[in-house]
Amino acid sequence: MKSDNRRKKFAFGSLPLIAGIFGITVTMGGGSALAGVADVDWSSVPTKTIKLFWPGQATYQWLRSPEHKRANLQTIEGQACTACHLNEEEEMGNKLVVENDLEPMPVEGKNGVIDLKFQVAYDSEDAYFRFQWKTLNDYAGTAHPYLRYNGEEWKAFGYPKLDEVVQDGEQPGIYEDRMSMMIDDGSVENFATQGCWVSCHDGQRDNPDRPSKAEVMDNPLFKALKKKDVRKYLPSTRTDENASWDMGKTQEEIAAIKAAGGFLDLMQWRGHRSNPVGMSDDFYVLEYRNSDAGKNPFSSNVNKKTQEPKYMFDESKVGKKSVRIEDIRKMETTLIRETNAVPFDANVDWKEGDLIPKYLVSREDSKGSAADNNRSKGVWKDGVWTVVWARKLGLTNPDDKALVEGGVYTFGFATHDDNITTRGHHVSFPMTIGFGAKADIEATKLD
Amino acid sequence: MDIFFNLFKYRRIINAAIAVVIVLIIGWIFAYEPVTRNFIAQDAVCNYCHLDWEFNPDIRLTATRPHASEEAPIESQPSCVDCHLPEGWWNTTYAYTHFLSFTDLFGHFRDRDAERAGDWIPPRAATAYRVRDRMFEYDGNTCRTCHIESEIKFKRDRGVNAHKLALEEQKTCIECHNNLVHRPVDVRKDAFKKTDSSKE
Ligand code: HEC
Ligand code: HEC
Ligand code: HEC
Ligand code: HEC
Ligand code: HEC
Repeated sequence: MKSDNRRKKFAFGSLPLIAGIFGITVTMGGGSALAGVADVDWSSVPTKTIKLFWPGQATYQWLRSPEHKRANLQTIEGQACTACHLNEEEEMGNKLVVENDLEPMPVEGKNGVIDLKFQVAYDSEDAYFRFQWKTLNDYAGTAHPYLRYNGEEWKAFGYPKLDEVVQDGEQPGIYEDRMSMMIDDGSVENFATQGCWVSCHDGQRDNPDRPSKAEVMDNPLFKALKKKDVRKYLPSTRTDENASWDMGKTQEEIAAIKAAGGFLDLMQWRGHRSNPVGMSDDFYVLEYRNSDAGKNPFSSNVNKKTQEPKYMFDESKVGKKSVRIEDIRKMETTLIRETNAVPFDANVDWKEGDLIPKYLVSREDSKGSAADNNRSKGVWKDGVWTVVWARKLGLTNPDDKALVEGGVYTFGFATHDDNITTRGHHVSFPMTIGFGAKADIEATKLD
Repeated sequence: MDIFFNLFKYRRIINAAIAVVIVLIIGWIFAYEPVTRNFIAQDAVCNYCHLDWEFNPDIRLTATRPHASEEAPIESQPSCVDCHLPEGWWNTTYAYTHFLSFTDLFGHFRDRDAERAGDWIPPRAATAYRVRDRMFEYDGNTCRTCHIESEIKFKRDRGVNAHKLALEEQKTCIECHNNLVHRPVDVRKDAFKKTDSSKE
């Protein structure tokens, strides 16, 4: 029934879009965009089920406060979360997802845990990852905030579900699905034992004690970074014991930490902003969640001067210049610079309710270290995402954690499910992965 | 002469008296600890000096919560000495030396100079630090009179996991179960550092 429905919608005008994406996935990157990863025989690779759970606002600071009763001192000492919370993901997720001290903005109908089926393999060139998880919704999270024409001007439309405007019903919850990995090779203090929690702090978006935009922009570190909000960072980049957001070290000190490898790799596969071009993004966490050098596959589609879109859909490819609310999640509505986009034309007779994506995606324009993850692809079928993802071994960029044969790395996983961002993810405790080495999960060597 | 004669004459009575004294002494030796713990060093006596509403869970405005469980009747709560006065005959004496403000309940003389030295911290915090230090030093001996580590029944996995860790790393009760019943006092940063090098 459902697939019939979907097919009809596709036929309605998105066939060229699909063809375009298909075209690009098979022609880019000097061969297949999925070179290597498409050939992996996953049935020969063991599957590990990882419980991802809702973490609420359990920040670095909360975990070290007396409110984390009987555990704050141990946590300060660097004790592993699983020393106490082993096998408690289910219990914790279900407790934290409903309203409680650590969840002031509960999302209606949210599930506390997600089972992630995870596989990992490698050969002489690449590491290969495969993720499978069930989405809460019976649609793929391929929609992402849009610009909507209200009859007079273009206004932001669609927000993540932790936002007040969505919880108040003023805006629909729209945000892409994601799968993220955070990786360390042993150089970040406490990551092996406390995983992603070393990067989650008070002051960050959707966390407690958020500073105002003005306060952030007034802070020396953020001034230097030209940032308006606080995002993931490592305690090593702050001067005080509590690792406060506003106590940044100097640029020189931070550069020295980076040069010594004291950062985390963080990359995200994105249902709207990277998947349609067969990619995942590539960031690293240090004093902020920074993009790797070069250019990621997505950028803003908002013309800052006119507040209008920069690009619109190419009618000859998509069958229309903009989409409507009925189209989203039934077809891929990603605006891809090289396949289905043309410069925005203000003189078109725009109708109220016309939607144009807020972001522009491009595989061709992505470059440098930020474009390393250029072979990932997710397919959503029967309520389940299956994402395969290749990453080169032995990368030499100064903002990557090079994976090499014989190496053991600590990984943390997270998925953003059901139109949500920031801390609204389901996360894992840290675990080690070995590529030809003893670890919690040992990657299968392919020949 | 008369005296000896008289003593001889009353020897039965004297023997009886000596026997009584011996019995009394022995009785007192046996009774010393239980009588002290249960009748003399009662909570009410402790609260003669220590504020009721700060330390008694059943007083209005109390800062202390009941131990066993919120529902358990107040009579079944541990008394002050259960948690603060280590078991043993000799240790019992420290109840009395404490009443005289000579020692704490572990038999350490008060170091009034040290109590006043250093940066100012709230007196309550300073006292809590000292109590924790002792409970750490004596490996939670007062807790262990009721709780047998290997027999604790846990409600959640985290209890099982944490206690496995406690055994492996030889951590004692107060390292995790601080702020147990009284008004919360932050744990100071370098609390619970073993002085010897056995712990890395
Ligand atoms: C020494 C054992 C111990 C360690 C280590 C520990 N915790 Fe806890 N944690 C606890 C206990 C006990 C509680 C319940 C506290 C209470 O009663 O409010 C708790 C509560 C929590 C909660 C609140 C939700 C719940 O299920 O009660 C979160 C979230 C949490 N811990 C996360 C973590 C994370 C993340 C780490 C690692 C950085 C960690 N904990 C390390 C023992 C521990
Ligand atoms: C005659 C008064 C008095 C009585 C009775 C008394 N205390 Fe104290 N107690 C003190 C004083 C004085 C101090 C030291 C000042 C401080 O640190 O608060 C103290 C300190 C303590 C401390 C902290 C120990 C330390 O190292 O500073 C504990 C625990 C304590 N008392 C428990 C008890 C208990 C239990 C009882 C009943 C068995 C009791 N006290 C009866 C006067 C008394
Ligand atoms: C007089 C006996 C007694 C003494 C002494 C005692 N306890 Fe308890 N404790 C109990 C009882 C009874 C319970 C409730 C039984 C249960 O739930 O297992 C309990 C429950 C607990 C609990 C679980 C409930 C809570 O409050 O978190 C902890 C933890 C605990 N005790 C720690 C300690 C520590 C640490 C000490 C030493 C400072 C101590 N106990 C001293 C009798 C005692
Ligand atoms: C490494 C930290 C740690 C140490 C050391 C430790 N505990 Fe615990 N204990 C815990 C945690 C964590 C729990 C689970 C609390 C929960 O479920 O919220 C717990 C639970 C308990 C409980 C209650 C059982 C339950 O599930 O309600 C008692 C009683 C207890 N501990 C007593 C003790 C005593 C007595 C000692 C010293 C001999 C001790 N603990 C040492 C961490 C510790
Ligand atoms: C269940 C065990 C328990 C009982 C019962 C108990 N205490 Fe305590 N007490 C503690 C612990 C543990 C501390 C150490 C501070 C902390 O971490 O909570 C402490 C600390 C103290 C202190 C130091 C100051 C402070 O506020 O921490 C005093 C004084 C004290 N207790 C007095 C008493 C008196 C008086 C009673 C009886 C009315 C009593 N306690 C009953 C466990 C207990």
